[in-house]
Amino acid sequence: MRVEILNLKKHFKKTKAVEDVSFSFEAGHIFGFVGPNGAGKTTTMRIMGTLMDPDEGDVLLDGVSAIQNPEDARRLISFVPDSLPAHHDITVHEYIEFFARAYGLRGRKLTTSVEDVEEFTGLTGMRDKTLRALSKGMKQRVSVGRALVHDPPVLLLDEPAAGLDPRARVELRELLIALSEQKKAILISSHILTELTEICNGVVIIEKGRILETGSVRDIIGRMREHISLTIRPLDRLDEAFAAISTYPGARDVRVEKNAVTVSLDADEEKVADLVTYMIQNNHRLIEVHQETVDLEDIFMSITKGDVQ
Amino acid sequence: MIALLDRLSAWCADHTNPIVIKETRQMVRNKFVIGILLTLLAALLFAACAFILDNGSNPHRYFRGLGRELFALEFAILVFASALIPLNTGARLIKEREGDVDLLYVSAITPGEIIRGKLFAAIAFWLLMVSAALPFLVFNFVLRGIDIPSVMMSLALLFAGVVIATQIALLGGVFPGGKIIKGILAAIGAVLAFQILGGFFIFRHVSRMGRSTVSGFEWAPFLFVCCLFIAAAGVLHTCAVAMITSSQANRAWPVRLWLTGVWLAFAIFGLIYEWTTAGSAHFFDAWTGGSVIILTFVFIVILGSPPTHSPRVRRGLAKNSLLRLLTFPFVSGLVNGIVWVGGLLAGTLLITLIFADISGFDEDDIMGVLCFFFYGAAYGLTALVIQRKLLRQWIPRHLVWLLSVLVGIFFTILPVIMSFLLLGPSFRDLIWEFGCLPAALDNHRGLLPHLMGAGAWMVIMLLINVRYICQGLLTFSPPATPPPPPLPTPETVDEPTASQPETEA
Repeated sequence: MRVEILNLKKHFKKTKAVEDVSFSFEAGHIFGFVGPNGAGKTTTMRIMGTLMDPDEGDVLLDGVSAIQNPEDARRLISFVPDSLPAHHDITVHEYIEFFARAYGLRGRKLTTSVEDVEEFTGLTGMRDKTLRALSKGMKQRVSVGRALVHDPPVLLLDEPAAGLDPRARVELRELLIALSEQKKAILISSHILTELTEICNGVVIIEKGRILETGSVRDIIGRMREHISLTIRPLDRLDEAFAAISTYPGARDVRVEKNAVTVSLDADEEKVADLVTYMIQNNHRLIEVHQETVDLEDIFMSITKGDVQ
Repeated sequence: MIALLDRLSAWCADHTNPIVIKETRQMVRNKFVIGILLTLLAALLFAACAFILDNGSNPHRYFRGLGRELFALEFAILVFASALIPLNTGARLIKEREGDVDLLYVSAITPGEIIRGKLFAAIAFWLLMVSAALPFLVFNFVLRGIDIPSVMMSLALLFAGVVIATQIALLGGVFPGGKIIKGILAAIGAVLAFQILGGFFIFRHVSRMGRSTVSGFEWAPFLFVCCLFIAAAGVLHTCAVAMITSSQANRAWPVRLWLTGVWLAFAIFGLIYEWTTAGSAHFFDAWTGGSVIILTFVFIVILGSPPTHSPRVRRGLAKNSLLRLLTFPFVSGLVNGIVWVGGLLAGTLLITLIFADISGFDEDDIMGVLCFFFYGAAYGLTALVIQRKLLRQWIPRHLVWLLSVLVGIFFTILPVIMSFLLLGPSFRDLIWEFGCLPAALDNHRGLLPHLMGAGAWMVIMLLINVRYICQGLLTFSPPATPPPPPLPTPETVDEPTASQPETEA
């Protein structure tokens, strides 16, 4: 399954919610969809989920247009919105079964699918509880279960971790990894970027309706990184180590912080290796060399301006 | 046997609308529903006991038909309880749409199935009520004064009332707007429908109970009422489905097709009926008048349509030019809607003129209905100008109908207020009548100036709006398919891991 978003455009009067957005992802990928509030994430996802029509552009699911054939596309795609199930007076089992029927499942297939989803999402033990009695995390599981009941190859999750406690977040993360192992193509929007860094293969960064960056997390980090910050802690002779590093070609912003020397180098890991070799060759006994990591949050903060429309 | 019943039950569940199953499950758990049923049972029991204790010992009353009077009382209780069904359905729909209604749209379920599911669930609720009330209603047969067919006929009429009122409540529930507006519309609509149908048909029917309900049965009026019921239910259903269908889709299609079909069917029915009764029934007159009045209101509603066609509508247009031309009036869009109303209006007047001999519609009557349309259209087009030029920021396009009503009210009451202010409270004639529709319809002799004035007003407003309206002509063609652009797909992606690879040295 290959999901292609082609030149999507959606305007609300003067607000350009989505402006020429194009990207793609495939089965087995978990793609993070990142952007500040009002960036156009939910609008894009709602268009992909056939809940909204774009002004221009198309969404292709293995060649099936979600705009021209929304009925066909709905069998291939499932959307988990940020709102939780609102049917309070219905049990977990009835809720999932209702959506299974809504997707046209009948007879034995209906029973099997509902039971499989309940087992996969860990809802078997609470299938007879009403939705009113569930915690937020469990309701989120029900939402995911609802979305999986017709076994769609594409899953869209809009802020699924919002409001969940740490345990529920870990469980959700494990659930998503298990789904990607089942070769589902997953697009997930979230504000909790550290979590996305841990599970996403690729990422799309969007602001003011326009894509700023797209690609694998590692590639983007590589592209965006202008320098590497190193912390070098010698066992002794801190002043000499400081002097040696200060004179090393390419070293910038050298300073002493808490019995260690921090230094900035050009974003080239060869240069890191050369510096460490140079220090050892000059008989400096090093007990720690730490390279400051860059994650999605850093990239997000450096790329986006936080502007809203 | 049990296995067979299980299989039958499973087959039924598999072939039932999922919404009905869900709603029924929710219904049996709902305290409100259970409360209504228990209260209904208690009220019926109390009414029956009290009535029998009060009148049962009087043999004179017994022979006059005690059952009929008790039936009327019990039926009134059932009618009152039935009125809660559309209110409950409308309220539930509004509540659901405030929450995760979107999820229904991403499933394979269609908007039509959603509306029908809600309606059938309401009918199931009503059947529960009837099953509770039926023993009491049928018991009246023993008390004399009412026969079983009359009981069934009354229930059939009540069923029609419940269906129509529920459809109106559903329409109110899916109406675009805030929760309060929707709620008010749904409640007013449902109560009004019940008042009209229940009050007019049912209570009139009950008052005749036992005398000529079945013995004096006539098929023609019965069939007419059935047709009217189907037509109204169909219009309300297609409108509700259109309301929850994406605004980008061609949602006018089923509504206009249904209305055109109803218009044509009633014309044929009316002609045949007038032919067989030699024009004594005046059914055809009602068809002409009713068609023009309805088309006037439809025209005003259509003025709130988008002037251009959405990409989805354009993609659905026929490639063949002739076919596209034929389907033009039935496609969503302002100019298409105006052409459709114009076509039906012209057709109505043409048919009326052709069959003038049997219709009994004279020149004054035609001028009267035309005047009604001209004024209505002029109010609507004036409202469109006001909305576009002055109030675009405050009033959305789809509320032009509301502005039209306000314009109509303004032009209707302005002469009255001015006459009151200038001539005093005892004025007999308005100081001017132009723009005032009630005054025009009341003044048959002076209808021609009204007709010409309203016509001119309408044409002027049409000319002011013509560029806006005709935008749709430019977008009424299938879009050219552009070649797909290259995608910024990442060549490599990271493996999903529990943690991002560290780059520590």
